[in-house]
Amino acid sequence: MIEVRRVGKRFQSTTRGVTAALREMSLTVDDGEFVCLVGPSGCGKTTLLNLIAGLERPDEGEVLVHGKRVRAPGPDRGVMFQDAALFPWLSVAENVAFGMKELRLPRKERQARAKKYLDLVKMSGFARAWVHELSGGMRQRVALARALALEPDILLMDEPFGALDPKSRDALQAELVDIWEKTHKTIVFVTHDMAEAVRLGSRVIVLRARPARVARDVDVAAELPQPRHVDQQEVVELAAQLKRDLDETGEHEAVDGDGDGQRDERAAAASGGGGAGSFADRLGLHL
Amino acid sequence: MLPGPGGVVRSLGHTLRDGELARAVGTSLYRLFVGYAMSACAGITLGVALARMSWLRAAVGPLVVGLQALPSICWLPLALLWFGLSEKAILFVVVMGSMLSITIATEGAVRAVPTLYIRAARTMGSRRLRLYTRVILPAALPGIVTGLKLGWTFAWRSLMAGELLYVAGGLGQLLTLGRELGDMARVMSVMVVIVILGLGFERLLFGSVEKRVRERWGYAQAEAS
Repeated sequence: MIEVRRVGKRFQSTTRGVTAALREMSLTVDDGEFVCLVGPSGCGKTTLLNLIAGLERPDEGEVLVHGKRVRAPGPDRGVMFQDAALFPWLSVAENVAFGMKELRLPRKERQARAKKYLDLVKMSGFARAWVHELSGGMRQRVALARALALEPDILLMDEPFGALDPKSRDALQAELVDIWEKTHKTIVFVTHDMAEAVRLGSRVIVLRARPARVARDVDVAAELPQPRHVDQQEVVELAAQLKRDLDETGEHEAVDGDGDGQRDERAAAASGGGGAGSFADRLGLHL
Repeated sequence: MLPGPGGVVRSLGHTLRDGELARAVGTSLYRLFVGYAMSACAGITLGVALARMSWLRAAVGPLVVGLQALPSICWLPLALLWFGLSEKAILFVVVMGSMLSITIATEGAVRAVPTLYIRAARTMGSRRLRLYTRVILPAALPGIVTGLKLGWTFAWRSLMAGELLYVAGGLGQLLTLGRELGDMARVMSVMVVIVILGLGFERLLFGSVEKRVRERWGYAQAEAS
């Protein structure tokens, strides 16, 4: 279980002085949840993820994982970044094995897990390939295998599919949900793409910027079981509704509600939100 | 003016037969390898330190850049004053001539290592020394190899310059001897040997390393370094 307790984090920038990325932010993620943190740039979602990962320390408050304070990054929380960050001097299999060597797992165990997780991400044929030979989607698959190989309880993912083409993104989303259902890991997934968040998460937390705070916390799994798809009516509806909520409160920032990979123009409110019996209504969201 | 190839080859044969060439090559190579090894170790260490410690960079950085611009042979008078007419003096010239170019290349390469690699490694449990040996140094390797190649060239040149001026064995001395005897063929034959040794070792030492860099990083990175 991940607990974020009244966390504050400030950053110093040469252009803007000190800005508070997070202030009095609290959040709890239960084991086995797939939580998507969505919001415009500057809403603190990446900062929040970095705090849970241990890559940053909070200025106020605390972050607890399984009751223990997070002080540093570690293999119990696997992380994926937008850039695969694979090491070019190692082969694919060696990359997957990197963390396992840190844990000093015996060779046989390393090989077995490398094979298992490369199979899981459908990259088994590429064990001896070099990183520069792989496409973006392939690299992210390997990055996923690398994170999974340490068998962490928690996976933290910072827009891992953001740089991929729609087809790869779609395939990887489906595979991620599949892996989640098989392994019951706790996943915290950061994205600016509302449709992606609604498609993936059992729970979607919409964050608002300036000041950073939780705008909506939606239990998607309750109403809409997996498998979902970005083009599915309920998904589109809910994503649009959530995005509208954000827009209504004055957010003009880069939120992508229709999944086209671009910031949406401030569109006129669609009619779907107010009708009785719409999916968004059932989740208790009203304009 | 110029001796024909025949004359050069004959002269080569003479020096080979009476063992003079072998001795000279042995002396020169010994100085080169020892000097270069010291250069590489000190150079890489200093380069990594400069890259990771900004206070050191501020204190020593400009000095490094300035001294690197000094032609290596200018170190000889200082070396002779400090160490007298000894092997240490020649080694000093070789080290000072090559170390700083290795340092500068290493510093650049280490600073260019993407912070993302370090973050990724930390999330997998890498810390402190292992971060350096398993991530930072391997990531910086292409740039470091470039520096080492450059350092090798400088080391060879520093050595020859030193041996030419400070006559005490080695190929440089053979060259000087040839000049003093007015023996053009001998001079040219020694030059040929110097070129062959220089190129040959460069290929030997760096050929396979560069091949592996190209193989793993791909051509783009290999070219960039």
